[in-house]
Amino acid sequence: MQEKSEEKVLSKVQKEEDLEKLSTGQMAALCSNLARGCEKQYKEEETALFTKLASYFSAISPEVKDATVEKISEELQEDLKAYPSLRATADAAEDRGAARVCVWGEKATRMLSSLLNRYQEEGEKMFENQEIWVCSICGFVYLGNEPPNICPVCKVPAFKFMKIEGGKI
Amino acid sequence: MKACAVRNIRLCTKDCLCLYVCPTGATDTENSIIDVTKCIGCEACAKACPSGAISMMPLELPVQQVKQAEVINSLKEMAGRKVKKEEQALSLAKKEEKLGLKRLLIALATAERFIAEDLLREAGYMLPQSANAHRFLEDLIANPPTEDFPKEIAQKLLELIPNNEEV
Ligand code: SF4
Ligand code: SF4
Ligand SMILES: [Fe+2]
Repeated sequence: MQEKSEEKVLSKVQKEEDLEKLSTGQMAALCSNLARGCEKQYKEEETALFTKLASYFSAISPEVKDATVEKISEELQEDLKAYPSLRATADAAEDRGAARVCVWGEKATRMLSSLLNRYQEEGEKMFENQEIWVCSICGFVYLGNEPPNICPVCKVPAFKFMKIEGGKI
Repeated sequence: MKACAVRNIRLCTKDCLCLYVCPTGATDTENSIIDVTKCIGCEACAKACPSGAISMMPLELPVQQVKQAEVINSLKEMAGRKVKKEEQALSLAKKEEKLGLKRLLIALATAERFIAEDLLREAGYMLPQSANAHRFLEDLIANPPTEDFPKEIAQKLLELIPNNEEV
């Protein structure tokens, strides 16, 4: 029995090779993820190299011409609708890592969506005396003078939050 | 398992016990990074450090979890949605003059990138040492996306990072 189920897993995994190519944006994120993987292992040179590859992919990504705040807002709504089925796929495969990424991602997306909606109602005054912080682990965005002591989504301490500056991109 | 000591600089309170106990002088460096070429993995520093700033990093990592194709596909699809919004938000932020909205768009792009990274990590790219990561780099060298793709970077990474699934 054991052998049989392993065989099944293998054939499922192999199908992955026939997948469509990743977009340049996905490849940028894949490389910056691998850069983090190296950074956590204190591999400085490898971190820098994967970071360079990530920048290369960002640089060759085609410019988006028709972007609007409304469109992003709609697409965030679509993501929120898509998370439950992603979660179901993760659960069906008994993949706890994938289930975990659904929980964090859905919460972080919900925050993005609500902030963008709030901006559409309140405009610039929503940022009065407020900094914008992003959790570097889960992507949770927080408005406030100081970052939260603990990320409400992934529970990392405050120093893992990045302050967003508006100067350069 | 062979391991090498690594120091978390943020936790290090410069109590220096690691300098006293290290038999090879690997911990005594000007940039606070333990010298991998000198470390023999004896763990003395990690045990002595009063701040818990040193951990032992195994030189070989176990093979990452095998993922099912359905899961991989769905995670990649969501990652695709995320990077699309990262790109849209960045292109808007570039020309945005209202500072608040500009910052919000940059935050959104940053967050979507982090979310995408996390999705891809779970889609079979947890370890830089994985066969998947290696296959990704090899594919890039074989089929460079553009003429000026920096092949040497991919090659260097393949040289530096062992494939822990290679038999
Ligand atoms: S013993 Fe620990 S706290 Fe002291 S210098 Fe070494 S790493 Fe830092
Ligand atoms: S593990 Fe041993 S050899 Fe390596 S740095 Fe620590 S004390 Fe020195
Ligand atoms: Fe977080």
